[in-house]
Amino acid sequence: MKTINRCFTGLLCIVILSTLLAGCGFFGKKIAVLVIENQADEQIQNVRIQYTSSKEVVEIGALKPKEKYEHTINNEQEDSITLYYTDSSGVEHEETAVGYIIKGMKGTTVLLIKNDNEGKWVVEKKK
Amino acid sequence: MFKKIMSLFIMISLVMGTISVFAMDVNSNNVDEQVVTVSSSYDIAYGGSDIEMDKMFDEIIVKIREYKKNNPKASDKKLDEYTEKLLNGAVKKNNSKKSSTESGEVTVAYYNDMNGYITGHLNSQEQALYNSNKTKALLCMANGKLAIDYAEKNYITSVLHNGNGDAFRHCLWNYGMAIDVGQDFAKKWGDAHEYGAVGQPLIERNMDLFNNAVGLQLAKDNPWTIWHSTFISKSKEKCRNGELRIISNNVLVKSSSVGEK
Repeated sequence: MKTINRCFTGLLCIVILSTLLAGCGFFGKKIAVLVIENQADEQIQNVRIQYTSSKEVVEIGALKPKEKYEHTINNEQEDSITLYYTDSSGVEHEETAVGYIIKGMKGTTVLLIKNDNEGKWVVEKKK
Repeated sequence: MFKKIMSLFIMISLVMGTISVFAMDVNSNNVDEQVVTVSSSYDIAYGGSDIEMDKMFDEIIVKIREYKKNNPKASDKKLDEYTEKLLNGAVKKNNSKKSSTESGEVTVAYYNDMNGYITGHLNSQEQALYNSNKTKALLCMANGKLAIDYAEKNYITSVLHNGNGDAFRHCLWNYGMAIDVGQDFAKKWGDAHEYGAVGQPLIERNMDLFNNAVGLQLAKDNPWTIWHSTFISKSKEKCRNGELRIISNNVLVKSSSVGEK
C-alpha cells in the first residue's frame, strides 16, 4: 500500500510540475506579436493595421492616451504591416509597422505613437 | 491523511492550470513583461530560447561549412549523414573553441530541438526538399537569413516588402545560394519557396521569381565570388540599374535606388 501511495504521489508531483512549467510558458506556443501604444496625451482615432499581401485589415478604433493594443501577427506567410491612425487634429498618418514578415517569425514588435514637443506625430519602435 | 494530501495536490493543480491558461493569453495587457529586446535586423524582439536556436542554427551552418572545406570530395550522402548527426546532437562541439552559447557547451538537447525550429520556417514544398537534402537546404536557409540581414542593413523598412529592398534580397539570396549549393538546387529551393507559399498574390510571386532569376544569373557570371561585399555590391548594382522588379500600384516596374540607406 505504501509503495502504491508513493507512486501516486510521485505521479501527482510530475503533473503539478508540468502544469507549473506550462504556466511559465515553458511549453507555450511561440508567436509574433505587434504592440501599438499611444504614448501621446491625446486620443488617436481610426487606428487600424493592414497586411500588404493578404489585404487583411484589423480595425482597432480609438486609442486613449497611454492605452495599448496587442495584435498576434499572422506569420503563416510572407507579408508586411502598415499602421494607419488619425491624430487629434484630424490628420491621417501612415507608417510601416512591420517591414517584412517571414514565415514562422516570432517575437514582439512595439510601436510607440508619440506627439513630440513641436507637435509632430512620430512612431517609435521600442528597443 | 493521504486523502487530504491528495486533495491539496489536486487543488493546487487546478489553480496552477487556471493560471497557465491566463499566462497563455497573448491578448493580455501584460505587454511589458513580454517585451525582451528589439533586434534591429528583424524589427522583432526575440525571446531567450529563440536567440539560442538562432545561434544553434548558425553553429550548425559553420560546422557544415567546415566539414565541406575539410572534406572537399565528400559526397552529398556523406554530407547529409554529417548534417543529420549535427541535427541529432551526435556531434559535440569542439571544446578547444569558445562556444557561442551561454553555457559554454552545445548540448544534445539543444540540437534535438533544431528540426522543429527549422521546419517551422518551411512551407510544404521546402519541407520536401529539406527532407531530400538537409545539408543543401540548411545552406539555402542560411543564405536567406543573410539576405534578410543585408537587405535590412542596406534599405529602409518601407521598401523591404515589394520594394527595392525586397528585390535586392531575392537577388542576393539566389546569388548566394547558387554559389553555395549549385544552380540546380538553388533554383529548386527558390521555386519551392514561391510555389509552396500559401496565399501569396501572383504579382508578388512573379516579382520574386524575376529577381531570383537575376540572382542565379549573377552566380553564373561570377562563379568564384567569395566576399559578402561583392555579393552585396553586385546585387545592389542590379537594383539601382533597374534590372530587378518591384511592385508599384499593383504593377511590376523596374527597380531603382529608392530606399537605399
